[in-house]
Amino acid sequence: MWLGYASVNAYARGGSAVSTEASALREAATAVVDFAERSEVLFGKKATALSSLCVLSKECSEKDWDGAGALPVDLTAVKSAADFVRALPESLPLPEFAVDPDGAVSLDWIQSKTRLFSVSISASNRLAFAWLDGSDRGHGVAKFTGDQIPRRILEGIRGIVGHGHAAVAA
Amino acid sequence: MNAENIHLAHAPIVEAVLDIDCDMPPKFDLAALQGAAHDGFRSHYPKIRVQFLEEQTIERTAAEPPRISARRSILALQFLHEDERQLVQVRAQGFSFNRLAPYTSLDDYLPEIQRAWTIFTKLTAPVKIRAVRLRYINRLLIPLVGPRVELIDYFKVSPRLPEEDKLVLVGFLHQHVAVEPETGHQATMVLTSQPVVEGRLPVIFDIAVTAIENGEIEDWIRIIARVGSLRSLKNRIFGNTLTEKCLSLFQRR
Repeated sequence: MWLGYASVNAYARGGSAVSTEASALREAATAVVDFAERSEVLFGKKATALSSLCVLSKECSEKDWDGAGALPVDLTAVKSAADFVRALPESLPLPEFAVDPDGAVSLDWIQSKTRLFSVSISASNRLAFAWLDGSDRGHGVAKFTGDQIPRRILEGIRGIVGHGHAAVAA
Repeated sequence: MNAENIHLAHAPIVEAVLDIDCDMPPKFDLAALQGAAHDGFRSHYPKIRVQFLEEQTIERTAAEPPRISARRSILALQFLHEDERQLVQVRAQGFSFNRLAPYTSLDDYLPEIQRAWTIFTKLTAPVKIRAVRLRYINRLLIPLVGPRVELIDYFKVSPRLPEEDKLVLVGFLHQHVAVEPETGHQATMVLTSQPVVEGRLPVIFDIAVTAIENGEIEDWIRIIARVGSLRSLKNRIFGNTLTEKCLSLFQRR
């Protein structure tokens, strides 16, 4: 298990506590996160990815952004997608982003037309994922807490972007 | 001293939170629920506050002045007591009960938590319970001796500097995340300092303990069992983080 800055980030951005002290805790954790995210080595590639997510969110912020009646992208889904990117281990490549017609955000690792892994993030804390590896395919749902990416999803992404077989227990 | 059963005359707790995270129905819409939820909670929680997630965009081109746009969605509906020391929350991901100081004992609040939870489930029709979390935020005022405080006298887990004779600690934020293998409960512990107030160093000690669940909404007995187990872990973390000298600060009248 590796949490590091992802854990501090989740702490800084989440929680249901309302006291003055809870705000002070969030501010202190945010300062740690901001400090880390100013580093090119620690966060440069993720910062670029999050910028592209912001641009996409803006492009899909109005109803019917696709001309086919799509819903506007869900802000909570965008926030969760950003948390997901922050929590990704450095060893994994960053995904491509897309917005689904229902307002969810898709994160896609596409190696080829027949080898890909996709995670759909909606307003809930449940992640829907699907993978295709040649003639093998599968899908599932897993919970995302904001700081830890579910093991099944991590293994699935590794299976697709690495050279191994995508052995995902759906 | 038994770390699980510490009774302090003046416990330093400033906020206690019980979260019950749920799978909500697919079409769950907090905005549409606002009126009905206010009606449901109004008798005990007359005030309402809405917590938003806001996105602001600044578009800039060379030829034109920057354009700023914003949009927002609801993260939680908060219903507060008249004195705002107690609230229930209908969140996008479940239910919360918050109690701010003065705080007596969790036992005193459980009947009200059950009542509010029942209203919540009728209003929102959650599908499954996915996590139960207890969070206790404490504010400890540690006396300074002159301009200094020896943290090691008050905390069994405390920050150390590499050159203590040449450097003076002016602030810290410690976060530990742990799992209790026996139960699978997760614990997040945070210690952070605040600016000195009247010769005392405020240290916030935040303990959050979580049980991952796959429980039925109606099973209050199971929820209470989880809360009891989490409470025990939280008490042990509290008692085993602070020294006897620190605990004695909260026994004085």
